Amino acid sequence: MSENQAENSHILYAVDDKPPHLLSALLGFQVVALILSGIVLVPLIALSAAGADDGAKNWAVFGALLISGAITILQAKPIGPIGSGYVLFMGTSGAFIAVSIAALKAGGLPLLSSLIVASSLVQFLFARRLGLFRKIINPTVGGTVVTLIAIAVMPIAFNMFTHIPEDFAGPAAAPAWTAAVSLLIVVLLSIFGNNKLRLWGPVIAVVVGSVFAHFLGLTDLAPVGEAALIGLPEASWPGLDLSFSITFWTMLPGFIIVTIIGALETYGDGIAIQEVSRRGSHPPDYKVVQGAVNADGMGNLLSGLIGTLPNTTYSTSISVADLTGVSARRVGIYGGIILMLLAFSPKVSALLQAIPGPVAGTFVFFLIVLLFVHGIRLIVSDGLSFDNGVIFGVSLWAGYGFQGQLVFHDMMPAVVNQLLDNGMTTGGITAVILSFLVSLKQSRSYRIRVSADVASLPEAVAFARGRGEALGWRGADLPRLELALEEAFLYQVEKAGQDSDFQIQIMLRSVGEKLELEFVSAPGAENLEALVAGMEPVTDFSEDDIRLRILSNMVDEISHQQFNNQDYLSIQITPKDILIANQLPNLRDA
Amino acid sequence: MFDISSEAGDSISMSGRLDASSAPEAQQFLDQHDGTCTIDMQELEYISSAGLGVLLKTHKRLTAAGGGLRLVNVNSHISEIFGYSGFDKLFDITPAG
Repeated sequence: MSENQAENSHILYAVDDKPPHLLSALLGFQVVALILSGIVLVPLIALSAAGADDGAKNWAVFGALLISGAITILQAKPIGPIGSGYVLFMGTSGAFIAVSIAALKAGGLPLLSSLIVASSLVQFLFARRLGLFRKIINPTVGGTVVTLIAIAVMPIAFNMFTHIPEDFAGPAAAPAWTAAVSLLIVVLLSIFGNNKLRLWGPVIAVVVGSVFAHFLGLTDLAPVGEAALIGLPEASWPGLDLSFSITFWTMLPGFIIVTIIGALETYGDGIAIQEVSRRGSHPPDYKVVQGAVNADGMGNLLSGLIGTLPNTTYSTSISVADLTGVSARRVGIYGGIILMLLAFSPKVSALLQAIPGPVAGTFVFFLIVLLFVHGIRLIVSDGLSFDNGVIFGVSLWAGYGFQGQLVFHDMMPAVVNQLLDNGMTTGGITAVILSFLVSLKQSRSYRIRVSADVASLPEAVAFARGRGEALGWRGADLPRLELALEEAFLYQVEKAGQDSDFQIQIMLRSVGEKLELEFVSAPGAENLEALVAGMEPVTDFSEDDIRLRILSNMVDEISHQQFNNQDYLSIQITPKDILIANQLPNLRDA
Repeated sequence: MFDISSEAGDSISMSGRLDASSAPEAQQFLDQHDGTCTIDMQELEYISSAGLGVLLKTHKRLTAAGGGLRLVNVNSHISEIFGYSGFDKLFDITPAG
């Protein structure tokens, strides 16, 4: 059980609870206030960097707010397999800034929209095969791509520091002072503030920095006054570029990579939100995670169709749910409605666009810092082994080198350069290839497919014994391995019931000193990991729970990941001599 | 392979593997016995939850009728399984010498 689950007794309103509507609306508004800047500024930054006109910017902001709100509601109230059923606020994804700028410069919003729509379809495929891809696209690959995104986008933030109004006549150092003040505030609040202040730090920095900049003459509030309180943006739908040119195909891999990495982020958020939203101890429900990733994909699809940057889950809402103890679905529904209503307020968009360049640049700078750190955390969470270090180091510098056109740029055909000049694409592809090479080094796995029938048990046991011996297991460890296999196998047989076509794929491989058995089958209702975790001390002996007691006391680790279309049950067993050695006191400390 | 047979007195001998495949045979055999049964597990190599279920069901039936179940010559591996399942607290067990 994670530390979060151990502490979730502070939950006031869990996901299925119904708090008062006013409280739900206020909490929804609180999260919106925290994330509004990101939702609006990210498309503005991308379109400004690409030289888009005000009409295009206003339309992109309108679309971002509308789709973020709609998908936030969809996350809370799923339609079929689309949506998690939890409070996951959606907002524009900063990870798409670099690839979006390149697409905008090459073909404007129509090309960007087409690329986003095409890459969103990959996300649905990824969600459907989540169980398979989860081992291929690991945290080292994800973290490498995230750090490369940060490196690619940071120059944009630096460039924004010097954006000043055309008629600015104040001191030359005004932008520098403004950026410094904004940065000082957010850094001090992050380091010395409590959890709440840390959450609100970027927003406070934007407000204080903007006020400071206003007194230095760096703001232009005329457009804010001219903008209507309620209305539609002046620009119209930009359309889609359906020419499928060479430019489209060379840019598509970059969008697909960012989309998959974004899906991985949503995968993590889909697990994290469950931990802070349910009372008691529960293993993650991976159907919820699939729903979250599907909704993320739907958001990308709709964002592309409407003509704005894709969105993603904002982890801020998870932090707020954890802090406030309120994770009821109503909060997400009200927050989504508020976002959609704000889309129809050009004045709100104009106000955010009026944030001075040095202040907005500082906001983006800090956003990218957090993104960079998140990437490093992902890599470290996977264990920074030598192999993972090589994957990260080679991919990072390959991406950096190609992004800066420093690596044989003149020798490559223009089409190849168009693909490789995006550092995140180059680094991401490099990371996937290297990760695959490392996986070839790992222990070979053995597989067998059998019917879910007691009659198949001898075949399955013979497989485990034979392969276990091949992997060096001997003596009393072999019956333990057979017992673990039999108990997990019979659980699958019970799950199959009367279905004569039910098949189970059993895989066996060594993981360090341990052996891992994995059972892949069609989905079932009960979660074995949850059943074992919920075992109470023996008070009344029953035939029904003998299997659970054996598994809970004998195996080291049970993981039962249930997806919409497949179940993955894995158990790990340690050799007896290692178990005994781990229980002995350390003689050096005697 | 699994074998179960009657020995001298009320003693029953089990050998081989008492798993899900052989549990029905063992249950059918034990259902024919009443009173207090002693099961010699000297030759029993392996037992799973299915086998433990057979022993539990038999134990409950015999106990309800005033009898019981004794397990003798239980080797270390089988003892370990009894420990995992908590059955070491339920049965009258004599370890192998």
